[in-house]
Amino acid sequence: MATRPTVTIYGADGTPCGGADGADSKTATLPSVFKAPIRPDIVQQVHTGMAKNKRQPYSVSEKAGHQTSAESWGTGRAVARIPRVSGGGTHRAGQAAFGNQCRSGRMFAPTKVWRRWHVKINLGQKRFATASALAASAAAPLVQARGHRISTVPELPLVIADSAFATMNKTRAAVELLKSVGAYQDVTKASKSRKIRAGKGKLRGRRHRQRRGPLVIINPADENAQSVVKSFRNIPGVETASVTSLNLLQLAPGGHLGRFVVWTESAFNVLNTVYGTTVTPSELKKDYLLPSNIVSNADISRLINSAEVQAVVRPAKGGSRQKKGGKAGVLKKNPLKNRQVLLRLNPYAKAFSEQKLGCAKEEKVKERPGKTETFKAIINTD
Amino acid sequence: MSSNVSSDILWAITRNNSSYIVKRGPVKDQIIFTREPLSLTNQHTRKHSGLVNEKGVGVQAGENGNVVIITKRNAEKHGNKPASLYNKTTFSKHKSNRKIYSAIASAVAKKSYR
Repeated sequence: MATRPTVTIYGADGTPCGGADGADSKTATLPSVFKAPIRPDIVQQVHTGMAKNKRQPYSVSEKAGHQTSAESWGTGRAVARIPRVSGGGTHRAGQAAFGNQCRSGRMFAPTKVWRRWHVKINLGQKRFATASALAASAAAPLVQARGHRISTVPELPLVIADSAFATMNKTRAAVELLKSVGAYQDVTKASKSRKIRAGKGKLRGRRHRQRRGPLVIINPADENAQSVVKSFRNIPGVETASVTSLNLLQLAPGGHLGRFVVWTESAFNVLNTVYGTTVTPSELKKDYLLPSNIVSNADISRLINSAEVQAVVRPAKGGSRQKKGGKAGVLKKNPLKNRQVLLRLNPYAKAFSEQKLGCAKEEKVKERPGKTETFKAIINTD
Repeated sequence: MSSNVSSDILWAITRNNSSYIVKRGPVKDQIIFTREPLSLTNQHTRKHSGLVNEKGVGVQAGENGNVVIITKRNAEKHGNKPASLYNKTTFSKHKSNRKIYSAIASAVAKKSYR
């Protein structure tokens, strides 16, 4: 087995703790969660369900469109048989009512409060999705593909020493910290993205929409945890979460893997306690083992090209000629353009072109037919 | 990179869902481009994706009209260190195009980087 992967712990100034490259620099072993399988399908499915579970029921009024005593006029009056408002003396009388096509009618299939709003999600799947999202947050390409600006971040997962948080109680200090560890680009991106929401949501407490920035994960058992949360909470886009109760909606917003996560050292160090490993059960979750990877080496192209696999596979059909598949597995080549193929089909082509027969001109007979010797001979038969 | 991540997995995940994707044209003959910095053709393909592959080359406009070449360093060591992952070489805009071409070729192909 390869060496156990370690993660450098960075100090408040953005450099590795205990010397830049010395042997005494402070590191942590990578917790097992980060080796969990990355499964976008499970994350998406669980996210869809979880996003639905915060919804509140809404519907149109039960009575809407039915608060009139309309009756159909029946046939014979050359109007449609839709119910019509009775009486006279007002414009409303005689107008169609009730139907979804009518003005002031009820809507089609009126919404009901007893719609199925919530979705049950299996606990195992939820935990799988969380572990998967955490593993993806440690893969730089996935974090970049999610849109986070991490080009100045020294390392993922980004772990910051506890000493940086020990006396933090001001937002200014939190901003300084994010700047020194190269995470502030992502905050700038989030704060610049703030736009007024399109549509009615503006009136319903969702006036602005903006991108998500870094997620700071802390250990609630820390003495200073509360003031750290308070220091970070007014920075645009930045969210904080407790390591013991991580939420998929924060770890994979929109169901997209790879949230940019900033860990405090103590939160990072309890990850093995919270999630356990693939063989030792978690201490905090009942009956929980981390999911293990089905394939131990995820580098599939390397597996395919390995000597062991290549030794047992059947040789490619059609040999080197096979490039495009096709019916016989042979690439059709144009003999008019490909000389080798032309010669295979027409061996005479070589001599033909060497003697330049293609550009040789036909010999012209200069004599006119009436004056030729043959003609004279025919005429002078006697 | 830990054992659960590889170019193959990264491509499978980012193929349909990535912030760099730009789709153009009608759906029936749609072209999918990418805005990745390490993509020479800007096509969203496995071959040209500098994000996913262990090696990638990008040529970009730098400051004051300079030309910047970006290549990836050893993914084994630097794969998860975004700040130190890339080698950047800047060429002045006063250098002739032919020299810049040959410099790019010698930095990439002649050194058998890729």
